[in-house]
Amino acid sequence: MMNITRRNFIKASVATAAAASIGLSVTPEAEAVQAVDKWVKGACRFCGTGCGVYVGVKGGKVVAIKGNPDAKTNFGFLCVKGFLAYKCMYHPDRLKAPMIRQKDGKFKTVSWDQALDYVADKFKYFHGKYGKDSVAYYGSGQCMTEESYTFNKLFKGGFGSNMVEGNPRLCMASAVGGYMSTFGSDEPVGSYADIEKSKCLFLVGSNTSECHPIIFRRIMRHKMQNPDVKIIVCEPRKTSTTKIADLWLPVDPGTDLAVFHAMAKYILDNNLHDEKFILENTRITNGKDVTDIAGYKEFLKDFTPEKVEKLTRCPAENIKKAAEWFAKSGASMSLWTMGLNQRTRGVWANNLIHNLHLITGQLFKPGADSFSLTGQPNACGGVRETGSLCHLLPGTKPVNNDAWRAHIEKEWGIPSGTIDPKPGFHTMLMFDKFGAENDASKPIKAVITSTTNPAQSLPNLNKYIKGMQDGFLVAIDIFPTRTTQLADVVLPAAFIYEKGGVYGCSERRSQLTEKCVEPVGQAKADIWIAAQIAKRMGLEKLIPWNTDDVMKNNEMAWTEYIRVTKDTDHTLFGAPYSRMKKEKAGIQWPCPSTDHPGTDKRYMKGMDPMFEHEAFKKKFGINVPADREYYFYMDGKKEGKANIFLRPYAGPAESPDADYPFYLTTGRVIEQWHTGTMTMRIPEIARAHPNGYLEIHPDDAKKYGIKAGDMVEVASKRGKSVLPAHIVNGTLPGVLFVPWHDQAMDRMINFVCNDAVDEGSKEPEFKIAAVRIKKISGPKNVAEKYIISDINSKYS
Amino acid sequence: MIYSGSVVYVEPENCGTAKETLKKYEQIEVFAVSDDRKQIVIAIETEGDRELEDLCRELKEYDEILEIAHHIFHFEDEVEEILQGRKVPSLDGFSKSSRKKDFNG
Repeated sequence: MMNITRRNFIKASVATAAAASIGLSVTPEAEAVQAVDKWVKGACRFCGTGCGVYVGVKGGKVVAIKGNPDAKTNFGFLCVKGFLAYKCMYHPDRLKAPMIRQKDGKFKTVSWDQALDYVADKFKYFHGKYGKDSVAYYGSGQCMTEESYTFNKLFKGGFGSNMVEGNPRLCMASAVGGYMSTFGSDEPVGSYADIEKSKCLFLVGSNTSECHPIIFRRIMRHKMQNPDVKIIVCEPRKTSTTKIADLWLPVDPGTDLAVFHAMAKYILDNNLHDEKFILENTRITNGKDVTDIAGYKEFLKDFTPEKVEKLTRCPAENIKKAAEWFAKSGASMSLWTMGLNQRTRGVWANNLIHNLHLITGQLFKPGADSFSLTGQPNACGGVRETGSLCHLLPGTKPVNNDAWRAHIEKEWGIPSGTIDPKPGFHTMLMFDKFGAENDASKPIKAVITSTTNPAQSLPNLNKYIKGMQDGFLVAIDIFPTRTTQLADVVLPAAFIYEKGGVYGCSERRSQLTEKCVEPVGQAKADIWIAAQIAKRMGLEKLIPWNTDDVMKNNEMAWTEYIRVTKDTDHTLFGAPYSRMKKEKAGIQWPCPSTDHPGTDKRYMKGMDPMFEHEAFKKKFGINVPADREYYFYMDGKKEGKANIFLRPYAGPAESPDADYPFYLTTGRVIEQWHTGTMTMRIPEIARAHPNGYLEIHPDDAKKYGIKAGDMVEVASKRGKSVLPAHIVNGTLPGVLFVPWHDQAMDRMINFVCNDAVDEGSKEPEFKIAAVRIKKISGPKNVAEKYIISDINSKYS
Repeated sequence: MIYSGSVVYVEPENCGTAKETLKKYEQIEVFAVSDDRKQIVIAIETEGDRELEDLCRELKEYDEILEIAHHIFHFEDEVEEILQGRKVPSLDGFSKSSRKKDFNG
């Protein structure tokens, strides 16, 4: 009887919440029930959408999660990844105590004091013997903003070293480069709200339905309610996203620059461009010289759709139709992710998408925007905005900017000249230069990683494993990973709902998650770990937030961060913790004062507060003319214009040839996330795609005598993987696809991927490699789900 | 047990049929219908996530049901089981047959 009562009680409770989320009431009896002790406001731990959640706590444990109906991102609904976060939190594999590797190769559990003293002593030793740049930090777009800010400050302000990187270098750096070079400032003009107002959605290099399911749901519903809305998908694979598309632009990997140029040519040749917008708001340039529309047309003369079809395999008619829809819709919005970014021409690809918006004036009006979707929940807020990369400082300003460096030094209370004007090593170089103490070719002797798994996620892994093995490696994480297998010290981290903090998502929106429960075991927040290392290295004054109250530490770091970036285009000065706690949907920057609601559209008079922000304009020498409706105020030339770039066509670093006749592209699948460290431990998620596999077109499979499930070796010049074949029609012949979440050594596709980087963004070309294939055997019972549970397991 | 508070989306003219369809399932309790008859609020109770997933997949096959969106998940029982060591998130579901099915698309 008790059971039935409890069941009914919980069912009434969940139904009431679901009803409330859509503005309905249920019976008064049901409304009275509450199956948890409290609901704590927060953000979802997974992808970059920034879904608002409420975490249900009972008896000091997380027992429920619900979508936040007030959230402007997800309107109260969540996908499967967010729902199942509790299985990560309470999984028996969670790291629960600090550990130091012993001479026998095994880890020994130690106290926090022992672990932190050991790490600090090693760092001091390396600093003393090899200089300030011998110790590096490699963080993550999953760390809280306060954590990234703290590590960045410790290294740049405390150690005087710019050896600070984060895994957004591997996914978002090209988008940053694109926004900075075209508009003068990072991150989008508009917001997700443009989706429901758009009349044409251009999805490029993004399998939105798998990677950003909540965003896809918004697009799908918009399309269902407005069948006239056009959806164009430009992607080498016919993914699940193309199911709702009106038009698919299939392209060979890395060739889409030509498609974007062909679209621009068609638009200009057919007078579909917005000449007034171009003349008033843009500068047409090759990066050096400025030209006019005629010069742009001349530059594009060879990019006829017919010629481009031969180069890219994208049908000319599709290119023309896409250009026409894009230009004529009245409100076109582009959305993209890694397919555009993880390339040796990633920045250029971003520039060319922006070009399409600038020549058609598809910006500023409702439903029109050029919008990069982030993959990680806090790549934007935590890493890009706090400047936690080797070339940046807080506010996404370069370290080699003398005035900004001086400003940061003053704000941090450190002597002038402390911050090195020279950028540190970007990610690939950092790990290339990381190695043994006695190896003179490896100037980096120690790396501390936080919430990231480079021993699985770096491309061309064979090149970097030895360095991680030989150097002094400290890994902060919640689970054993490939990286902990190579680490000397492992520090157990608290999960987001055990520590709280701010996440900033793709649409410039920052949301505070409050601490919900105590961490498992002895796990600690990264901010505490950073502050304790600082304390042991004599930098307590620089990082004073070292108390045992994690939310207090978070608030101190956040308060300082928003003060330091107060008069910048990214300002969140109007969003102190006191306000963030009350705001139900977070706040979009720029938000210069506590009475400002946050900004939906940037660079637009009447919408963007920076037009009237005198301290900002004074600091950056900006003068906004009264007659300008739109003004790109961070334009380096002080004309308030965006750049339409004439970028020459260049293909990928590696194209198929006689020895390596296939393109290989990689990506994520809906249920998995990144290296699978968390998601592979959630059985319902792991079940859907338990192991890596090779997607191959039926024609190619037939040619190589490959049947479904056969084991196939995929090899590049760098390495190989062996995977079961998955024969699908949804990919172009000659193009192979492998998801990258599998942690089993044979199926870790990053051994095969290319580590060539974009010249501007230094982002590696994960997405494109030339490979060959060979059938190894018939179907094999491959490990059903491979996860690393044993902290003492070997990297093999 | 997993409890989900979910919203079923339907065309107004199919609301009655959809409601009847939902009532046939013992795991489902219908709590409310929106005034425009486009949304039905239900509670779902299943042994685990897999059963919930399978059930939703089955429901989506009915013509009268357009979409099911989950708003809230209550998993207290699951957490207890895991913390008590009675349940380790397992590899259930990775059977050879399901993998083969997956391979064959």
